[in-house]
Amino acid sequence: MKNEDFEIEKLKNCERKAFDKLFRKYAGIVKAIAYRYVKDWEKADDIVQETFIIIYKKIEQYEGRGSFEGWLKRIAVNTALKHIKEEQKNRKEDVENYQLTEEKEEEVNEEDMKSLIESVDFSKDEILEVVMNLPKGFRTVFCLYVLDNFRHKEIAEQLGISESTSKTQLLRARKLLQKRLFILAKEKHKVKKVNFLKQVIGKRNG
Amino acid sequence: MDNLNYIDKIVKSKLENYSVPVKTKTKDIFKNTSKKVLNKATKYVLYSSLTVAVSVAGLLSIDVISIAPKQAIAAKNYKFSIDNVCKVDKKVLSNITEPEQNIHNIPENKDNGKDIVVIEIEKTEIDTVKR
Repeated sequence: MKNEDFEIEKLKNCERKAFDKLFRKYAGIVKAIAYRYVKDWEKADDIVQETFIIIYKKIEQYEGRGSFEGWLKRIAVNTALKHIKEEQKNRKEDVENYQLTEEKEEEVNEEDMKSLIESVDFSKDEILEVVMNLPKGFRTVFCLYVLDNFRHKEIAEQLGISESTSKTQLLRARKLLQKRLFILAKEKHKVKKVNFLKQVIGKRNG
Repeated sequence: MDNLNYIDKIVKSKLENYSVPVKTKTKDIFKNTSKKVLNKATKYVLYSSLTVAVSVAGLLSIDVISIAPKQAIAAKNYKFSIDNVCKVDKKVLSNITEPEQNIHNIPENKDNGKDIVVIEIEKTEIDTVKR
């Protein structure tokens, strides 16, 4: 029996220590998942609590067919989606209503963008910020598809949109991410150059 | 679209297992709820956020009978910890006393304080809850 299976058996027996251990291991990941969808740390904390309550209540239903982590993450995503659906209902928003704000574009070759972006080592926080600044509809679809492994059919069902809308949102999200990462990459290169020049001048003067 | 797959890879490599610090502990999740009650169904919920309190109550099919200082005193008599029980806006309270009303439309009132008590008052069961 694998170690994790053993812990799951303990969870099924309502052993508090096993639950504490599970919480310590996954709460941070669940919070990060929740934040991607609700973009609010307090709400993300609420979702963490709800997610673990659901896990506690549904642990009996976990049959060990897929990975436990995958099962847990899926519950976290569904709980976060429930929150954004409620918000949308209250504000009468629709995921399809988010339009891409037009930004002035400079003509840049796709390959040039790719090579510059790939040459930069972005930090996790930089990537998170770029993703979180996507329009809500784009961000939701992108995160569901790319980070949480939902298929377009599932996304369409969850968000009440068509599969083709989901695909369009994903493509637009990728394009916008590319554009913004390119801008960030250029800035980082500029800073790097300035720092290099400062070092050279410093050495000459020193 | 394939030429944009590298974007997915970059984001995935940084965010797939991204984790952030969580202040909450499990003891806050099932605050003051004994194992015996937990094993039964988690009947009582003490939460630090109204949104969570109400949604968890909905989740667990608990009738939210009261969220008010008066009932909090009653709770204290039954050994609930109520260090930060707050005053609750009357409008909020009137909504909550009708738990079957659209539970998610209850406005969050952050000005009220830190802790909110959600209690299903039923003596026999409260007696099983240990401090």
